[in-house]
Amino acid sequence: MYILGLSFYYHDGSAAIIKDGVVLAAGEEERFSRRKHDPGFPGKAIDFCLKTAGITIDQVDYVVFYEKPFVKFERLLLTAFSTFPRSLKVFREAMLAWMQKKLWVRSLILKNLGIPKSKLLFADHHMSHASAAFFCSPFDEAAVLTLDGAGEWTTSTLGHGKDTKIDLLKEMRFPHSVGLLYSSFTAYCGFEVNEGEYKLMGMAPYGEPKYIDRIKKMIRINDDGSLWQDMKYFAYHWSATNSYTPAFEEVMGRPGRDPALEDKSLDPFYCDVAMSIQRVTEEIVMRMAQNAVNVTGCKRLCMAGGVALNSVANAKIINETDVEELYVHPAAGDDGGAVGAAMWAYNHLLGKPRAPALDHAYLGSEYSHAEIEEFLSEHDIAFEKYDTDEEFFDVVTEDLIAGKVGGWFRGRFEWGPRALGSRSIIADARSTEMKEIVNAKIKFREAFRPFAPSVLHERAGEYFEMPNDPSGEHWPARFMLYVVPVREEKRDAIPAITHVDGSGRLQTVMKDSNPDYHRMIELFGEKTGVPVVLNTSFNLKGEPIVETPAQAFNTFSRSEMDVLYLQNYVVRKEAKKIIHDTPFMLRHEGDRVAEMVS
Amino acid sequence: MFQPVTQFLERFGNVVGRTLLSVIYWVALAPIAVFYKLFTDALMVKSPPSSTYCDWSQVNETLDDARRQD
Repeated sequence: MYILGLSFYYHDGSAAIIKDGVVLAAGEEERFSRRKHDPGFPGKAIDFCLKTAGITIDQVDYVVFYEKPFVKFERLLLTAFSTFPRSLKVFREAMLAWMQKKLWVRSLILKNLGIPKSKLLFADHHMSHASAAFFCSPFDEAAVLTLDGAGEWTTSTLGHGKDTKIDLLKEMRFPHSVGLLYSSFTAYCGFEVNEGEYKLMGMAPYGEPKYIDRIKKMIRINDDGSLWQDMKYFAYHWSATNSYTPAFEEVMGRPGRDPALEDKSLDPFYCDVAMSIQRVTEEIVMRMAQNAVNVTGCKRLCMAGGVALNSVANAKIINETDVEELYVHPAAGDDGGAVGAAMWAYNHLLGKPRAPALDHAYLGSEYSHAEIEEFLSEHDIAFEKYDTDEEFFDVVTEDLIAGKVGGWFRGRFEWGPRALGSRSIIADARSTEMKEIVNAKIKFREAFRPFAPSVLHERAGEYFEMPNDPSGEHWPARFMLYVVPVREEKRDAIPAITHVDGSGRLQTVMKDSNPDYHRMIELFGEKTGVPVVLNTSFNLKGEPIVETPAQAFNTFSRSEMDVLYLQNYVVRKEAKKIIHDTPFMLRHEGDRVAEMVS
Repeated sequence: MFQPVTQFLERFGNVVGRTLLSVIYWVALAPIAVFYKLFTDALMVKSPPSSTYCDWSQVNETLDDARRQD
């Protein structure tokens, strides 16, 4: 049985296809359209999924959309009533968007795919998140937590998953939302909502948690982790442009940071605010996790929703609550809703048996050696070709040791926001200057943002203080969703990936799921004694991660990368030039407030 | 040749759309909204409860339920 899952019209439109409960392919539309966070109908991603599955749309048994549009529409209307007369502008903007597009999701899908009505299903937004987390996990039974900005009405759920069923027990409802709380502080610190949250997390270690008491004047965290926000401090439920009110700024003691500053001024006050809201978020998430254990009696926890991308909180859940094992879906945000919706229909709705766990995120497209050679020859690009993988890995590791920064393009691209060794920029983690070089000259992004380490799974404990997972599986680390301390004695050995507070957002590389990347790091370790490389996504700031060899070559050419590795083909920087018929687009990365809640 | 006309019509349509929605907001929505604000607290803004968790109420357990958008 084939089921196609879709998520779009909010953030990161995506498609995923499953066959008998196994995810065959999944991808965000932005990878194909080249428009960062493309929210539109994921036509290209659907084509890719069907092509990978080797089927036509007629062979798909069900198409499942990841949320219930009319319930969300109801929430918008009732919120407009409740905030009358301040809600005029957001009502107008939201209604225009809904009347032009969002109310016609069913017609759009039926028309574009040419399927009968009976094949189209709608899941609940948070049930899609819960399903992505639980049905992809290796657990037969687990507590389930979902946390994001807002779905239809729901902003967070607590549930219990067992075999092929998920019982959602409790929900928190809009406008009380840990995701929107964090986004309000993202805006206050001068970053774009729905994108700058990573920046806020990266900025936090530069500050101290001095303003927790001020934040707690505006919210109440209950014992069960549920959150109540005093809405006189927040504006996202009635304003089209602001997340917070002047009263919020009064409590915090300073006006919001000017977004035009971007990374030009790392004011200590806002760093302290970033650290304070990070700590508050961790407190909420940990209380929710502990409550989930208490209510369900399960010490295994599955999480999804945008807040589950808060890798610092994820590690603390394992270390500081009764949760023993944690699984976070690799695409924990709304993109993952595509997989979740399909899994929900297959397992929960139709009662079909579970498939093995999703233990990797390599669900995207790939290009063969022949296709890459054809591209290079067609564009007259000089290259070196290595017949054996071992020869190739030898060249790569020698380059890294020589201080070169390389674009690594190999295998199927990753599902979710993290580059995990298929579309990555890699460098020597031992170099003290490497962080500045990659931030300034290659990624063109904020200087304070840290880089992640890729480390062999079996040697992670030598370099990092791994959380207390008795199974030793460390699922979130496979998807780069843990931030853990770098062992004190190893911090000088890997300075390029050690953040200012001594932490690292590590990716553990498994031999089974990515043998080539694993072998390259292993060889690097044999030569240097350090089986760790710096890994960051293969894109420039504002650009989606590269998908094709041509896009990889263009991004390589537009940056100061030294070398490009396309499978076993090596392109040196002397060959750089721009392939003009390949689309290249940079765009602002975040959303407006009206888009954030509607 | 038609591009400037299309652009003009798009902009004109947006202005008309926004104006109409403003009229609807003030004329049609206002009485309901005032009543709604007075007698309900759908957003739980008035007082902090000891828990903001409420029971999950969505019913979406059959194929027929799943075919609905609400």
